[in-house]
Amino acid sequence: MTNQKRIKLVNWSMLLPSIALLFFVFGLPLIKNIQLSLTDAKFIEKADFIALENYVKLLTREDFYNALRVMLIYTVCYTIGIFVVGFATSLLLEHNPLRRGKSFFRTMYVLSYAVPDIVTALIFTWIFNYNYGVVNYFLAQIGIIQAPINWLNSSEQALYTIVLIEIWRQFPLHTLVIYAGFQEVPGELYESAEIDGAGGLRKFFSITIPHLSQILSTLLILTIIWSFKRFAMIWSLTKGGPSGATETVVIQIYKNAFVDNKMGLACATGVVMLIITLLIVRLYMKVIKRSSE
Amino acid sequence: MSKMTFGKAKRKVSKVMIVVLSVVVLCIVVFPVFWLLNISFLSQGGLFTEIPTISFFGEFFSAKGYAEVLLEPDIYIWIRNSVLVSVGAVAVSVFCAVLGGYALSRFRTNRNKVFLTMIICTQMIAPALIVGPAYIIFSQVGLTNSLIGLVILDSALVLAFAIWMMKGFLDGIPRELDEAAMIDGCNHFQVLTKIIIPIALPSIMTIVVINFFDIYNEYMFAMTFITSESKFLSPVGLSTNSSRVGLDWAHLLPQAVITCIIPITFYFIFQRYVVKGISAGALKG
Repeated sequence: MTNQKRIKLVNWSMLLPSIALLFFVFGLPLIKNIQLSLTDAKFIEKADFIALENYVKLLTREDFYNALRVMLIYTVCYTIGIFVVGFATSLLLEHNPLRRGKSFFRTMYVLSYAVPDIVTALIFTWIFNYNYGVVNYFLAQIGIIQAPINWLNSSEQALYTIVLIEIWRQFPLHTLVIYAGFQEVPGELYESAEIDGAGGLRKFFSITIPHLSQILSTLLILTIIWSFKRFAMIWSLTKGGPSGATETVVIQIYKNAFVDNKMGLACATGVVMLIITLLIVRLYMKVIKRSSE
Repeated sequence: MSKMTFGKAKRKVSKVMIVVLSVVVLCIVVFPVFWLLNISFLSQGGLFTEIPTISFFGEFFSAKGYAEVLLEPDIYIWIRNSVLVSVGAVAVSVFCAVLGGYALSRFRTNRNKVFLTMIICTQMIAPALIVGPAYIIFSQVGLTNSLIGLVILDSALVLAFAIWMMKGFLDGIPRELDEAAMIDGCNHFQVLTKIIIPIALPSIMTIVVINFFDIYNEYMFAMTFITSESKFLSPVGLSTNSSRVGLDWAHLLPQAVITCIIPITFYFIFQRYVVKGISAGALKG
């Protein structure tokens, strides 16, 4: 056996477990998904081919546009919120003057990352409870609200409350990534800027941010993709309710498939969602490429 | 006041401000966890009061919920299942990631580049999108209502990220090491097990820890694919109890605390790796 051939064989045998696993869990179901989206499948029973009927139904349904709208609001609020919190907390860490402050606060800030989604949902169901919740009590005590707020059961606030809870659960990732980014900025840059008389804000916007642009743009697209996928928290807090106010596309897919017994429709929704995700990623890559040229 | 001391005073104020704000954030992060612990020790009467109470040493303090929950055998079975699935899936994903990461880091053919892109692209697929079709496929091969089925699913869900991180770490290990070992007569598998893995062990540990959290947290597949109660994972056990009619909060809250114990303990033991893993994961992009 020649060396070239041997390397090829080694390469294949090393990649095979990964590729097989990913094909079985992602590839095969994806193919099945596309196939089922063209049928009137309910669950496991036999299904008839109905061509594009599901897609027509989907694109004429009010529900679907509502889910898209909810997903958009959710993603925009979540992304902006988590970046603001991530920046604020990482700046607090970076400038902490205490001797062991940085590592202590960093350890504590990441705590929420260790609390499972389901438990988080349960905790906040209590904290945001209409009658007995500590948030309503506290806000009433300091006089911000007159009447209790229905945080999770009113279609006006529920989505925003969920975004808040999701930010609480997920922000450590942004804190750590941005904080790690700060460490990569060479210190001399700040020193020479100080000699030129630049203030804190000026240094932040003309040295820190440009240096972090690569990390931030990766983090931004990951945040968007991740926010599309979030399921467990919404499901256990509201199941998409009240009356669809928190029903993102992902929640709708799950509901169609496992609650309403419309597997075909769920699969068609999935295909449309995948196309949207791919388009966003494509668009994003283009923007990044243009701005870096 | 001279200009010099004024500047010093200002700096001191901003230092105090930073510490104060840090503590405020700390409270916001820790409060919900503290609150869960607090209300889990309340009696039913203490839970439903307009004025939130601190349970410890108060009149509503009650450990009855804990006592009763800890006597239920289900809890232990669910936690054992969670641990089994997490350990199994971490093992499978790390095994695949080390092998795959090595191949992608060392053999830079065009085809491997395509593979890497495809592997990363699986991350764009929302798990909810494949849960229905995967259920049908898994049920045809007898992997629904099975912990092994969950191991397969969970390890695949975290695999792309694990390979991506592994490749990043291995790229940082100079190839001269491999070559030197090959001259001494090692083949690629021996290089991997004798040279690379010992060097990359802290990085592998990082991946293990991060994957563990993600898998222990996974809920959608665990809820959908498992139907018999004896095979529930602990988050599913918790949510099933919380959606029962005649919901019993005095039992549910201690159960929630118990569900958290493993990941939180794990976090404090391995927090160094968690911090490193989270920051490295996105940075390597």
